Order: sequence, then structure tokens, then C-alpha cells
Amino acid sequence: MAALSAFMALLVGMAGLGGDVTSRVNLRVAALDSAAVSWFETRAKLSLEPELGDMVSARLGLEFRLDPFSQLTSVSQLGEASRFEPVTALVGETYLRLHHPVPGLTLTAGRQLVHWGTADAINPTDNWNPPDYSDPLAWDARRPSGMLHVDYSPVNALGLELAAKPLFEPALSVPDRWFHVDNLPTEAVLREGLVQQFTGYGLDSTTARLLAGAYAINITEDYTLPVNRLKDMTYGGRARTHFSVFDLSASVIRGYDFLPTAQPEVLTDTATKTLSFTLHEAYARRTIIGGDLAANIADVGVWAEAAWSAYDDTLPEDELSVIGGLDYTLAGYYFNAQYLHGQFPLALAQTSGEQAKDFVLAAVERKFFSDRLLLRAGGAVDVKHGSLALLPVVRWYPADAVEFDLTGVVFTGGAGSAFEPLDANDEVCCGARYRF
Amino acid sequence: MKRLTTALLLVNLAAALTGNEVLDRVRAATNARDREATATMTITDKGGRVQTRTLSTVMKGDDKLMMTFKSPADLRGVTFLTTSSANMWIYLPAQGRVRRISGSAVDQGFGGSDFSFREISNLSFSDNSASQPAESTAFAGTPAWVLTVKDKDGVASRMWVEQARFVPLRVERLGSDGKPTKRIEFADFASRGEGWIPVNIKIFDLNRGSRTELKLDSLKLNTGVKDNYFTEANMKKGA
Repeated sequence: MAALSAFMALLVGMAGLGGDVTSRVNLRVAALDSAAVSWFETRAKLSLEPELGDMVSARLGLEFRLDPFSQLTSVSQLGEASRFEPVTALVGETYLRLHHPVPGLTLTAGRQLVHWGTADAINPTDNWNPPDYSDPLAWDARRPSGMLHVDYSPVNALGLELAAKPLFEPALSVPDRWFHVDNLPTEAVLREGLVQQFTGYGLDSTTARLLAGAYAINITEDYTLPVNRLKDMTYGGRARTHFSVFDLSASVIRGYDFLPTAQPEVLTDTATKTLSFTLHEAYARRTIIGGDLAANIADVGVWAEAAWSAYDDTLPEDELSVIGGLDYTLAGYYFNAQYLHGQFPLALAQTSGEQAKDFVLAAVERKFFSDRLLLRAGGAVDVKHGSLALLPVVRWYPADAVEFDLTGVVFTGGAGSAFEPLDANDEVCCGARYRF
Repeated sequence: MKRLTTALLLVNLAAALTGNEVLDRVRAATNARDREATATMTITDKGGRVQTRTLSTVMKGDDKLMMTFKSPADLRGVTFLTTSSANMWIYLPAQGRVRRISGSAVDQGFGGSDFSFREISNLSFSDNSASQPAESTAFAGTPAWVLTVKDKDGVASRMWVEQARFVPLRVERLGSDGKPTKRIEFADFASRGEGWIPVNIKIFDLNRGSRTELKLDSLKLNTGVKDNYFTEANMKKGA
């Protein structure tokens, strides 16, 4: 281990090479007799940051994701190694950055992460990089995007940012293995709808079923991505300042939702006895006006962040997302609580009932044994329906840059609540992480 | 005869200087318009486990300070900025955003060390004042002043100052019961122009039984660091 660390330190020093390797397995324990491995991935992030002097810096990032779930479907594929251990290669942050061509100006071009907002983990004003929901427990992860970003900070108390992103990239979804969603209705569901329609017209049940059975049913998906034209790109700006013990910022972004809006269209042709179902899925164009505040009041850290999304079309409806929170440290215990009115990533699975929009998020954590052990208890409550997501963490740091995790996720909730669809997704997770 | 004169002068000064005057002389003796340094931090916990961090620091005046961890890998790029005792921020590369440090967290360990955010940002004692006269004493055989100082939050410390150069030798942070909770020792003063800069600073957490040594590996003074260096954008510049 010491030799490996020394070798890695040499590489880091010589070439600016850094790495972050994580591996985690999730064991679904909601039903112990059928406990299954629902997620098992090893992710290796590598970054190269060559020494280019004070004026210029650069970063080249690569990420490899090894998903060891076999994709074999036939004996004839046993010779195809890629089906045994599918590996996905992704480009991480890869950019060139110019520092202070004029005093206070920083210009970054390339794939990068731009984070806005002051709230903890959920930031309504943070709308540059698409969410990466592929790891269900890392619900605040983002994918880097190709963009141009300019930061002008002439003094400590003032910062101005401008950014433009030519291409749209949608959110990366959670693997189907972890949570399956049926986007399109089945033929049986649509035919049952026809039966209901015909009985509503006064036909008896038998006749309605006979008539519905005679219909041909076509199901299509109309999925469109935003057009990649100059006038359709994402752009925006932000101004930030601080005075006394307050940090403030205001921002505006012209961009898109990262998740598509689905609009079903059903056409019934009685002449040809055809039912055509089309699900139109598109990413809504919107303007987001946001602001945030962070302060230190009576030794309590407080923050608030709000974003108003005004959509070009009537669907989805314009909406306000707000989060406010505070943190406090007492006798080594760190407390953090937030109230959110808006979308909570783990609640996106909700498919029935009124969409939950109000959540209380809270956590308490403490380090023990000279910071070698971290215990954290955290969770989110769907206020309206009383459903709950708990995420406890036990983290052990046996050496610098090495972590072992024992975590879990527990969902509870009645019908129609935010976390009800995940009620069977209770999991115990074991992970390891090494950085160099 | 010369020694006698010096001794008489010291006795005379002892009678003349208040605690705040000693503090002012300390600030003047250890001051620089700005300073840039690379440093090694060695943390030894109660069980003898040793952890090493390397970091860069840029300081201007008494208030503006930016410190960036270069290693180990899990801290690389973590940057601490303070522009006054009420304004402290930390940049965590994993989160990609700068967060304000709440007042209740300023006594938490800085980078897992025994230095708290409060202590690391106030090594020049800019926040301190002394309400009582300084007393003349000896510290390890060296003529010294000892004085009780308080920071703006009322946290009291006992401070030993070398009489000859007005450099700090030891600071003991006192708990509410008046007993020391931490001890900071300053050593290996490097002469830079008219000032003396401590190259080696050790802090002992007397409750936890751990200690941290901060050693400056390189030091540049008065290089002309601008005020606009201490910005959020530069925090993100990182390692």
C-alpha cells in the first residue's frame, strides 16, 4: 500500500494525474428471501491536469464505468468478453482555462461543471449540467457539459458570470434494473380503456369487449430532442455579491428541462376501427430566474434559494422551486435541515396521486476516533403524504484518501405518496473508494 | 555594562507596556504586507497515527487568507478563504460550490487537523485584544511577556511573547473553566526584512491528546498580492 501510494504521489506530482475509484454493491433487502443485487458498479475517474503556468490551466477527464451484470442472452455469445463485463467510457471534465487575461477574469472552454446556488445538494438555480441519476444514491450528481464560461471577479465582493451551452444533453436516468418505469401503456391497458369508453356510451360489457377487441391498436413514441441551432442554445448569467455576513446572487438562464414532458395523444377511428396512441415527449424550453442567499446569523448557517421557471408553452405550467435551510454544529455534532418546495430526485418515481412537492430534508452527523469514523443519519419526508426516505451512512477512513462505506436506503409510504413506488427498494450498500 | 543597560531597559518597558501595546508590537514584528507559502501539515493523533497534508497559503494584511490543500487526494483542491473573522468560506471540489462556514463551525478542525478555522485564520492575532497589563516573566529561560487576550467572540487565551523581538512563543487557549484546552507553540523564526515570521507552528489539543505541526517549506513576502486575489473564482482554481 505504501509503495502504491508513493508511486501514485510521484505520478500526481509529475503529470498532474489524479484518480477516484469507487466500487459499491447494493443488496435489495426489502424481501429477504428474494434479496437481489440491484446495483454493482465500479467507477474509475481519471484526470490529467498538466502544469501550464499561472495563466493557463487544463484538465482532461475520463470516466470508466464497469457494470458487471452480464449481458449474455445466448450460448453463442460466450466468446464476447464485452458482454461479460460491459464497460462504459465517458468523457469527464475536459477544458482549457485562461486565468486573468485581464485582472479578475477567468475564461473556461470545454466540458465542465458549473454549479450555481448555495443550498445543500438540491439547487433550484443550478441548471447548467444535466443530472446524472445513474447511481440511485448519488442523486445530486451531474454530468459535465460542453460550454463556454466566463467569470469576472474584479473584487472579492462582486462576481459576474456568463455562460453559453450550444448543445442540449438530457438527464441520465437510473438503470432499469434498479427501478423500472413503463413509459408507454400496453395494448391491454388501451383496449380496457376502449371498453370503458364503450360502456360509457351505453353498451353492455360483453358487447363493449367484443367491439374493443375488433380494434387495431397502434402505440408509438414521439421523442424529440431540442434542435441544435444557435438561437436554441442554453445561455445565461449570474451576479453575486456579499456584504456584512450575507452572500447574495441573482441569475437568469434560458434553457430546457432536463427531463421530458410527456403528452399522450389518442385518436380513435371508428371507420377503420383503429386506436392510435402517441406519446409526445419533448424537453420544454424555459427561462429560469433565480436568486440565492447564504448568511451566518447568530452562529447558525442559513441559506435560501429560489427559481421561477417560466415555460414557453402552456405545458408544463410555470413553477416556483424554493429551498431554505440551516446548519449548526454543537459539541462535534453537525445538524442540517432544509425545506424544499419543488422536485426531489428520489420522488421522481411517483406515478400516482398528486405530485409531491414539499419535503423536509434533515441530517445529523458526527465523526469519531480522530475523524476515522463518520456516522450520518439523514432522510427526507414527503410532508403532504408522510412518506419517508432514510439514508444512514457509516463511513470508515482507515488511511488518507481511502474510505469504506456501509450505507442503506429505506423507503416507506402509502399509496399515492412520493416514495411509495420505491417501497420495495430498501437496500443495504457496501462500498469502497480510493483517491490518488 | 551593556547587559545591565538592556536589563534596565526591559524592566522599564515591563512597567510601561500594556497588554494591547504588546499585542501591537507582536503584530508589527510578525507583519508583512502579504505572504505566500507552501506548507506541510503533520497531524499526530492520540494513538500515534500520523497524517500529512501539503498546502499553499496566500495572506494579505491580517485578515485576508486563502489556503488550498495540495494533498492528500481526498483533500486536494479544498480551499479555505477568510476576509474577516465573520466571513469564512470553504470550497469543496466534490460539491463544486463555495459554502459559507457558519459561526458554530469555526471551532471545527481544519482539514482534519487540530487547528480550528478560527485558529488558522487568526494566527496574526488581528482579532485579539488584551484587557490587562502584560506581566514580565521568563519562558524557557527567555525574558518574555505573558498576557491574557480575548478574541472578538470572548474566547480567552494566555500568550507568551519574547521580549527581545516581540514574537509569540506560546498561546494557550482557555476553556470556560480557565483551564487550557489547546496550546500553540511558535518556533524557528525566519528574519524577513524588519519582521520575524514563525516557520514552525505546533498546536496541541490537550483534550484529544493529538497534535498538529504546520511547517512552512517556502516563504515569499511582499510579492504584491492584490486584493482581488481573494475571490470565489480563485478558490475554485484549486490545487
